[in-house]
Amino acid sequence: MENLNHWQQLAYCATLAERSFPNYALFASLSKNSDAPFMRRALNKVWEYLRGQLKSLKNIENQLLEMELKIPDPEQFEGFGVYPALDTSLAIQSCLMAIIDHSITDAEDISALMWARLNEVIELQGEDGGLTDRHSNFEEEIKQILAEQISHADAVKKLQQLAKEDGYSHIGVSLDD
Amino acid sequence: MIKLRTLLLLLAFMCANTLAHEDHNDALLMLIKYKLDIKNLQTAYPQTTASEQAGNLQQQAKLLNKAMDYLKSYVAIGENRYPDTATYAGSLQSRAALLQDYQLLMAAHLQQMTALKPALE
Repeated sequence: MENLNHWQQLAYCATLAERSFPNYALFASLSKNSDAPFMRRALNKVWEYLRGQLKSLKNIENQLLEMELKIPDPEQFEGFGVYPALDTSLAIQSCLMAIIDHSITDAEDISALMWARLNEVIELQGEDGGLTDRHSNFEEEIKQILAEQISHADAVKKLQQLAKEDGYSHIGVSLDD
Repeated sequence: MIKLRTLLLLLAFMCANTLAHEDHNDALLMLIKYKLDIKNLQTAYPQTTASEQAGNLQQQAKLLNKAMDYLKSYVAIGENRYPDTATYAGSLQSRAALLQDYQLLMAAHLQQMTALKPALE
């Protein structure tokens, strides 16, 4: 991971955030908060930046300020769902900050966070059910796409497709069920 | 199978005190959160006024102190908490990266604090 450049690290992080987005959306829906569209727009801005289409960084700064108010606080919510939602929020927040500050390269941390949560879910379910292999393959495919000699726009398209491929988050949450 | 998994997850999402929720995951979560918050403060620092800078540094110090408690417990997690050695090895790499990140945050904090001191005297 440390061999990835800043753009690649950011793309890695954005793909992890995209994959985990159903967790946030489910939490928002169950806790009846209306922040999911904001988080969605924030993540879309990250993809825009990665495609080289973001016109102004001012918007990112505003999103970051607003995001501080939208990140769920585990002490305010009952239920396990707040933790995967917080993971997604932090992944998106890290992406936004990395756009402004190129010294931020959090792919390793965010990946560790996603793995930790996945292990927790497996423990909760009492069985793996193929989740570990699925997530391992997913991360491997991200690395393969990032290593391809293709344009940023094409890489983003592939990464977005990969993240949304089967409609399930890394811990197995789907909004379609 | 996936439907059943989704149902189980749905229950877990709603139920309080889920047994599977681990403190060490909280530590990692909070360490990343504090890291981003401190970085945010450090990035904002040059654009703030002299009086705001003192508050900014105090806030940084507060978050660094809180983070140290989590860092202590996170780096002390034993191998037996991981399902296999590969996951454990990955965790060690992640711990090393986090320690390095915090070392850089502390160095930046110290630099900003040292620069502010003569201005206050």
